[in-house]
Amino acid sequence: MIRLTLRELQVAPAQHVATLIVTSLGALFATIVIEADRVLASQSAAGGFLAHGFVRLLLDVLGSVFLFVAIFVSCIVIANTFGIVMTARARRIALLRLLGAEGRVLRRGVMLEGAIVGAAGGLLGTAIGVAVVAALIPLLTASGTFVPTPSPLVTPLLVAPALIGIASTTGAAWFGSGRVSTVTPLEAVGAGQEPTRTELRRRRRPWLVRGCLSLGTAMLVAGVAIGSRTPLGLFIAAPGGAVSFLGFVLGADAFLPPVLQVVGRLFGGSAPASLSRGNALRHPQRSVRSAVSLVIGVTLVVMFAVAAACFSTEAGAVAATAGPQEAASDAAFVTLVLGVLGVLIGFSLAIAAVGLVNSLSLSVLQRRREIGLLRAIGLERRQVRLMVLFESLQITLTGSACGLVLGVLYGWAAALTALSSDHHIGGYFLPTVPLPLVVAVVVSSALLAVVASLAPTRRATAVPPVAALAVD
Amino acid sequence: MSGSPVIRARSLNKVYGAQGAEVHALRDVSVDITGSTLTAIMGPSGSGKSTLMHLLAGLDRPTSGTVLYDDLELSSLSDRQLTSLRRNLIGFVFQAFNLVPTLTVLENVLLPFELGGTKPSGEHREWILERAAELGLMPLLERRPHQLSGGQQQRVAIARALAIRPRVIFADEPTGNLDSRTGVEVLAMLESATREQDQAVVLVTHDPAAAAWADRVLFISDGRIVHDVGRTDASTLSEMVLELGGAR
Ligand SMILES: Nc1ncnc2c1ncn2[C@@H]1O[C@H](COP(=O)(O)OP(=O)(O)O)[C@@H](O)[C@H]1O
Ligand SMILES: [Mg+2]
Repeated sequence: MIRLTLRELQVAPAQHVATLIVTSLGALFATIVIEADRVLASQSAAGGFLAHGFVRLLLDVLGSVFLFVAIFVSCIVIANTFGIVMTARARRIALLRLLGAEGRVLRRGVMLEGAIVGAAGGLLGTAIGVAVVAALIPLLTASGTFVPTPSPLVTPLLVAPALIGIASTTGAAWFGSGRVSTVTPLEAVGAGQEPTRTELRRRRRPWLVRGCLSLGTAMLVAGVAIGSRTPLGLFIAAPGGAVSFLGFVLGADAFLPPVLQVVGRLFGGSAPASLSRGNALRHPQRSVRSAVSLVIGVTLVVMFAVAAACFSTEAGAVAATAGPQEAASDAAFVTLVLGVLGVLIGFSLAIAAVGLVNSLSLSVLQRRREIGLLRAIGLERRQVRLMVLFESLQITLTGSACGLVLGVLYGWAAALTALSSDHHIGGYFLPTVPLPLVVAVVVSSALLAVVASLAPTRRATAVPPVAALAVD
Repeated sequence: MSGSPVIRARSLNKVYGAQGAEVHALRDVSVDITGSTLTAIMGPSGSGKSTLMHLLAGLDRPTSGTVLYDDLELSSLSDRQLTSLRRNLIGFVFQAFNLVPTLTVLENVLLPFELGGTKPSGEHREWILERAAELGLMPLLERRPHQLSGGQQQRVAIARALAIRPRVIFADEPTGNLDSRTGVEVLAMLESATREQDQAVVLVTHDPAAAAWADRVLFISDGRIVHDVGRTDASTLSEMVLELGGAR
């Protein structure tokens, strides 16, 4: 079994490139969070511009939240990538099953692959992360943003990203390889028909989804309530937000297909549009996971932007109670934190983009014959291009729409929890949603759709009509 | 029985592969395909049957030579014009994988119109539904391809090919995946297209029993047309195939 695993890695390393990139990005992400926390902490001690403990507390909470998020996003994308790899490998798996391999044993082999790729990606990402931070500190010090103070780079905590890389990739490989158990030996004989959507949709442990949603929402509300007395409410609200969001993600198989359907209708009734509508829902798990990794990125961006906007809007009240100097120091700090977070959030979007490209590419690859058939009976190249682009847009717009809604809610909750205590505002307020943000999210998700569809489109338009006749 | 030429192919050559490792799939093939005629292309495996069909149907371009639809020379057409020609003048029935899995039977039948961004007129639609009824598809219209048997799928493909009232229908091993009784049904339907719609049907097959349905049988061996005969019974065709196989 181990030999088979190593063979896969040796013969077809390309199938794990996406996982390697995502794992490295995740580890890089985690490394930077760890390093940023350390460096910012030593800076605040030396620079003295973070006078009161609340801001440090906020920084630590955010740091942990982001570490969690980094792992979470990459797990989803890696699980999706493994699902894709397993689908592409279905014939080979079916042959092994035909020859007597147990699904469980095969799946263990896949987990081993995940562990190996995860280790490689974890080490790579950590190394790059340390290098980047080491290069940035002198730059920031020279530009006057940082005060010159010794900031030791290597800490035992850095083992974490690599370990997390291995653990999350292995776990995600297990989740994503569920397909292995459903491959029947019959598929090796080639008579297998594409399963329908309803057959594919498995029971998604609805009690877990409902449990996460209700527990998370309850904690979030409780956190907000406690927030009216002390910002420590964040310690309840943040995990509450995470748990309710986890519930959303686990239940995405049920929540997102209707949204995908609605978004798909936006493209009208042309042939490429109606074909792509079908394609996006054909492997709903795949589309949903691609959309979910985007939902996470967008939710985060919007959440922090909305929280920050609330902060600025309510700043007048802060100035009234806490004095102008403290308000200015808070504002400067928020700008700094947002800068760092912006970079971190960029990672989760990059990870989501890799997942999207991967998903679209496979979608095209699997439909080679079908695209050939469509070309044979009269689909033009231009229409093929549109078909792939629409599918890409359908996924990104769905992801960003959900992310916008969730982000506003979570951002508002975060702002309420952190700011509504007497210490700050002393009361509740409505969320401030910056319009440029909404425009930016929609435009950038459309851009992402275009960029992500470039390579898959090239593949799709290169399919000759005779591909329909290929007997494989 | 035979109408005017729908397709005129002249001196077709097709060479696959890079220099030094060329495969001459077709050598100097000239042939006319006539309307109201079921023409079978027979020959051993690897003889060039599919290649000839691809060139005649505008699915691929010859290395040299010309294919004419009336006065339209295929090599002078852009990819877009060629696509539109296939969409409007040519019907296809393949051995397998004929249908788009996400679409229903009816949507598959109407797909060429959808692809062209047109809708059949009310009268044309009636006519298509009549053909679908003849093919026994009425109870299946809302099903999806995976809910159909192989023979039913082939019938849907035939309905789609007929729907656009093409000049010519190409069928590459359309019975290759079917049991013999279902295969006979499919062949009978293709044959009736030549009688009732005055269409040219080109049937690529290695099966003498299938070719026996044809009005005309072309034998290909090693990239050349070696026989061009009228309607012939299956056992004679088998002997001719054996002879060719022996000659190789
Ligand atoms: N795409 C291709 N590339 C290279 N050689 C090909 C290709 N398609 C067909 N050939 C070769 O051309 C010859 C004729 O093939 P084909 O027309 O498919 O034969 P048939 O349909 O009669 O079995 C064969 O030797 C085959 O190997
Ligand atoms: Mg062939």
